[in-house]
Amino acid sequence: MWAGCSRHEAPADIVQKYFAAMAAGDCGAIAPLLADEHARCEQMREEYQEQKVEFRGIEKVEPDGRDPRVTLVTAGMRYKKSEHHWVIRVEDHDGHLKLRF
Amino acid sequence: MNTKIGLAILLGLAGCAGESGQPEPAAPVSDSLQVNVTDKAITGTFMHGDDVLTFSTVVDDAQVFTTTVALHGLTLDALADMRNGVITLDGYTTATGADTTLVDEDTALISGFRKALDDKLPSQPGPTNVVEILRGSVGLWEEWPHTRSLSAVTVAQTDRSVVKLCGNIGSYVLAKHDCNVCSGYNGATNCQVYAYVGDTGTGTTYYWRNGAWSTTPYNHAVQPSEYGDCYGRCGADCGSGHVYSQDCLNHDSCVRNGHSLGSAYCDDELTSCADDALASGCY
Repeated sequence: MWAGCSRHEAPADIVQKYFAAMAAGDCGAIAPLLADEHARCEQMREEYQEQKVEFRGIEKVEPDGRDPRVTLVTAGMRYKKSEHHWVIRVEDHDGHLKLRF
Repeated sequence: MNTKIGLAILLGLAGCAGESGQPEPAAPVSDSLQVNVTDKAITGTFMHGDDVLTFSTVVDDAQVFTTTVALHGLTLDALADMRNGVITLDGYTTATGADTTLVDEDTALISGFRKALDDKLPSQPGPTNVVEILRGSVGLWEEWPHTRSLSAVTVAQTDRSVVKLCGNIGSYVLAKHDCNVCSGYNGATNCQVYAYVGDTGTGTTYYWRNGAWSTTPYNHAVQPSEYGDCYGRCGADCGSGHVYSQDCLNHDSCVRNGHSLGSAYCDDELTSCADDALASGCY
């Protein structure tokens, strides 16, 4: 079973992959990317699409100051007629990168 | 019964149950809060088992309140200049100053501390003081979305004002939020609710649905009536302190009608709550 992205992918890549899957509404592709097994993809997708969220690109990639296994990826977003910035945690799970919101 | 003896008996029984194949219950984790308060400062330590959170709020002669909360290698700072109406929040790795974000374990410890503080030092009416600034700051961090940066965020500025709802407690007030599905009848009415302001003694929100109260949330219905879980009170869940305000009512209506509490889509409503959360209480 595919369990997220392998370590050779960069944290920014998996974030971009997540938003591409979210824009396509593809929970089958999204679920393996999430660190939280209880995350409700359908609800996340519904809210994302209802809000007409636009992913504008990766703005910043940096290590988390408290955990070297975590990379903080800042994504530029647009919704509610204004710019927003989401800091997404990309965690290394035994060589597989997963996102935590 | 002596609590320790009772606990020992319970643990003993649990041990027997475990040997018979039943899962053993988790041992209870004790909380302790040590706090020192003066007119100019509140300092102390909160412990949840081995988890430690230290805190301080200090006020200077210019009515600038400086709050610092430290936990899990994370430092959270709040600078509240009450005369000039500027509130700035910051958060960083204690050892290095590097960026980090809140995680579930942080929020849980902050929430435990906020509740312990409420128990030990219940909110009192009167002018803003170090206790209420600490309570309000901690309440903000308790609700802070994990996807939001902690770094040097100015959350209130001089051109904003706090609209309290002290005179509206016990009545319905129109609450609204802003999002891309606000396109219902007569404009944005599907992002509006009539919320009953106040503490009705329930930790659940109730929604008037088909002639009866229901716990099933709406997802952007047109101006439904709702009550419960301290609607309009600033802070997570039922809230903390006794500040009821329009901005906190609006944020509550956002996270209870089609958005989750940690939803980034309610970020701007939460930002608007910052100065309200640090204001003096209604009672």
